[in-house]
Amino acid sequence: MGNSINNTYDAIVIGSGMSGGWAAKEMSEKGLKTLVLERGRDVKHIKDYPTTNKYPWEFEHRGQIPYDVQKENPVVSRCYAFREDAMHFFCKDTEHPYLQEKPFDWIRGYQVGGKSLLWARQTQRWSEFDFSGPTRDGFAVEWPIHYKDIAPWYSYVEKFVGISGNKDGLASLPDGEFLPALEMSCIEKHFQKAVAKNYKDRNVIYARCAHLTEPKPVHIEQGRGQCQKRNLCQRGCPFGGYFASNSTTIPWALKTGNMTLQTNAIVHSIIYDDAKQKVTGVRVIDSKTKDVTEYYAKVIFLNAGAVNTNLILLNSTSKRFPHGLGNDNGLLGKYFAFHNYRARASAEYEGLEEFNEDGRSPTGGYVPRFRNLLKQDTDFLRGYAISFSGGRSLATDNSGFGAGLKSSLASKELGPWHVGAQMMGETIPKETNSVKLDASKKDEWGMPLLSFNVAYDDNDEKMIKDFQEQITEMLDRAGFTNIKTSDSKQAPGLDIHEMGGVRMGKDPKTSLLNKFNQLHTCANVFVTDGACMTSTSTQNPSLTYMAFTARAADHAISELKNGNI
Amino acid sequence: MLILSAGAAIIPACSEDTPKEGLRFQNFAIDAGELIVLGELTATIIPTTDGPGAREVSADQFMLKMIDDCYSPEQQRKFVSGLKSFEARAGRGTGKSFADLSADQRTKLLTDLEKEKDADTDLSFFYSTAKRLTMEAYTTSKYYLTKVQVYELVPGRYHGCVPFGSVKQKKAS
Repeated sequence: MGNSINNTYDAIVIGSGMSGGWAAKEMSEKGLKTLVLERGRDVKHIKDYPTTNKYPWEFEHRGQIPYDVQKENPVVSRCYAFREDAMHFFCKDTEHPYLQEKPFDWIRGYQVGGKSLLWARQTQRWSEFDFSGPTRDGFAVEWPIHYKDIAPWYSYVEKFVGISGNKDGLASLPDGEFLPALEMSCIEKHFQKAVAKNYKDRNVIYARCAHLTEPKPVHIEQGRGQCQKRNLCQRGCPFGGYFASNSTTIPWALKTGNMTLQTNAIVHSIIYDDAKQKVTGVRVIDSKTKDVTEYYAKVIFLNAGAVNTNLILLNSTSKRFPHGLGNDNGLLGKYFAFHNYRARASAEYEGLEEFNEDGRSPTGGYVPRFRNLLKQDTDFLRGYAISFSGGRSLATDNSGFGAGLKSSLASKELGPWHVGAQMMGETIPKETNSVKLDASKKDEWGMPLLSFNVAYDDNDEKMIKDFQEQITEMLDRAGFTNIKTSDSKQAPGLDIHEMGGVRMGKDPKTSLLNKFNQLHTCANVFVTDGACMTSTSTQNPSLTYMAFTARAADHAISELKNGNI
Repeated sequence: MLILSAGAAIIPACSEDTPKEGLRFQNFAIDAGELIVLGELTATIIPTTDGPGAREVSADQFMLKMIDDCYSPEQQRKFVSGLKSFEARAGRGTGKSFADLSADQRTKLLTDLEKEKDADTDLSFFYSTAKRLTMEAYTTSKYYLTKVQVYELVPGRYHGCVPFGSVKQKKAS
């Protein structure tokens, strides 16, 4: 056990990724001595991006993952970004085992910055249609907040992060604090016009993304610069062109002098003192030495990533909470959900032959949810957003060999526009979709293995079918040809949007967290990563986690000041 | 990883005394003559013309590295077996290794294999794999990406819709 005086802070943040970075920034900026615990290694901005400036020919396998690595790590090998240039930012299956009652592809990044280094950087706000969804449609529980509660915090976060986008004026996808948007491509504009002409209820916008198109003074102060349109973000950006904890919140928090970063620190559990009847700190295993240390603080922020946040709470048992911290109602780990990304479409367009894109865009077209938006109009609940992008590639003829083949590979001719579209479907949180701790199996640090029991349901299958029909019609009406749809049948998890298990709600009998992300039964413990989500909506969730975190930190600070926690 | 240096692949054709069993990669083995055949095959697929071809970008070494590191044991077996069939086919009616065939003889053989490329044989697997990896070695080489189709690491710009003729990245520098 460590020295309790040296191990005492005002606040402890568990996790340094997307939401943990925000908790660290907010609390250290307001003067709280803040300890950030990260289970992985440090990744310093720029210095620890070893592949960031490599040319394609500098990669031994030109991007491919060696056969043995794939064979030993089948789960992470299914992730689109697990390639030679970014494989060092992914957690390997073999090093961190887990159990699958049903298949679940759990994609993890165990390092400072977590998956904020690897995210797709899409940042659409939720709308009131999303927050009122469970109540209107009768699933999950009522959200304890409305759009108006989170809207100012979206603005607060957006200004600091730097979000590029257009003011589209859509109720289903509220506008925010935007840096200028990039220009849509010819083919995206074409689709936008065609959809506007053919459908009253559907819009194509340019997706908002966390890229600095025109840095503001705050971004310069962060040490970040303009996005250079490399689209090599997963390597870490030497320009700080996109938002990652590593380039933004963590260094900002460190600069205050109030933040301490402890890496290789696996949180075993949160300490509930039965005598004091409150949470007093956390128990940490050093991943290298396996030594156990306790750290103490008045307030704990749990930002370990949705699944690991569930794991830590389930593993935090005491006389008062024998089934996991805050788990009086037995719902911890349940109502787990994710996003349905299974179905895609592809097509070609024969026009616009005299045009092309120049440079690379970090974002693309986006169709906000239109199904069941104003009222129930299908035989499934909720709906999906659609991503849409396209481009042209060189029209090389790969047949034959010799001088003819070589000259074809030098051709400057372009082929037709190819486009791709993908659904991002809302899944309905259910009690049967859950994570739990295995009773006997443990990892090399003695932590119980997490076991997944998560699956698609009929609602998801119906939604996939509807997406395939609707996107086919939308593309067909827009003059596309060779339209094909597919269903990857990918397991839940590969969306990398794990949510729930520690959901927010009004009633302690049916939820774990209150409207400020505090455990109903332990007011000094806040959960502001994906685990807090009551429902999932159809937006990439990181922006919402960041806004929740900033809002919860503000509340924590004022409750500390008022002596309430 | 290559256990022996991939430089072994450039042993000259006349080195009769090279021990045939001595050229082993981590996961498979081919003999010295076969290494020469691979080099000649890549150079036939993408020849040296007024600009560098497969030989100058060491496509044979890249191919062996990829087969060794990124292919399954079954694919490696088929590749080696297909290479032997390839040599047997080259020798049919000529009595020679592919490396010693005339340009016309090579052209005839590869033209035949192009027609057979969808056949489910080790030979067609070998040929299509060798061709694909030769093309990959060439089109991801520094030469190709700086002189033929220019790759920009840092475009610094994005324009969604420009007249085709003005697209900078498609022009050779």
